[in-house]
Amino acid sequence: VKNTVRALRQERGWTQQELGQRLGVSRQAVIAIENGRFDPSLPLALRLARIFAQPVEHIFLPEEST
Amino acid sequence: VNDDEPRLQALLVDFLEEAARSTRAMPPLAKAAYVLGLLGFVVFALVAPPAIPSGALAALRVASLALFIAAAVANARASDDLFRRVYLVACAIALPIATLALYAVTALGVPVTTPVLGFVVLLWFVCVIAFVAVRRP
Repeated sequence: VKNTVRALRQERGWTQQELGQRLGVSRQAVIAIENGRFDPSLPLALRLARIFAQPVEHIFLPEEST
Repeated sequence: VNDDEPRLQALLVDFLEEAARSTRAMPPLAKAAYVLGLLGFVVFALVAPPAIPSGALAALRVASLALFIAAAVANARASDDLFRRVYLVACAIALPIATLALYAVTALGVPVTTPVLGFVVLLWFVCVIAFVAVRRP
């Protein structure tokens, strides 16, 4: 699953540490999600959607749709 | 803002920060079990008070270790998504490797004593660091 987390974070001028604190996860988790190496759980994906004020399906995209 | 791909030192700092955060997030009972299990194991396994009979000492060591392991599981449950998955995958890899290694040394007649705990924990920790380093649990 691809995602737009890095772009959304950079738009807001947040560091990975700041986003991790807002989400309640480690900086490593943010890095892994941004690099597409780790698909977050549904609760974490929903927290990301709330923080970025975007629908989940706008943040996470199936590989074939990109 | 582009602060990804940290060096190993930053990786270890993040690991310790997450370990501290997950420990703070543990239920109070689990925190108490963590401290009691660790202290108990240190006292009964390393200090080994001579006044305690050997049978009772062995039982106390096992009980302390069981308490500590139960608390470690509670700690893993309080970790974030990435680290929880990393711990689980590290266990899944460390368990068969440790089983094979312990079976081999036993079959070869090598005496296996308490340092075996250090071996298993080290193996698990190496797996954790490796998976966090590649960030692909």
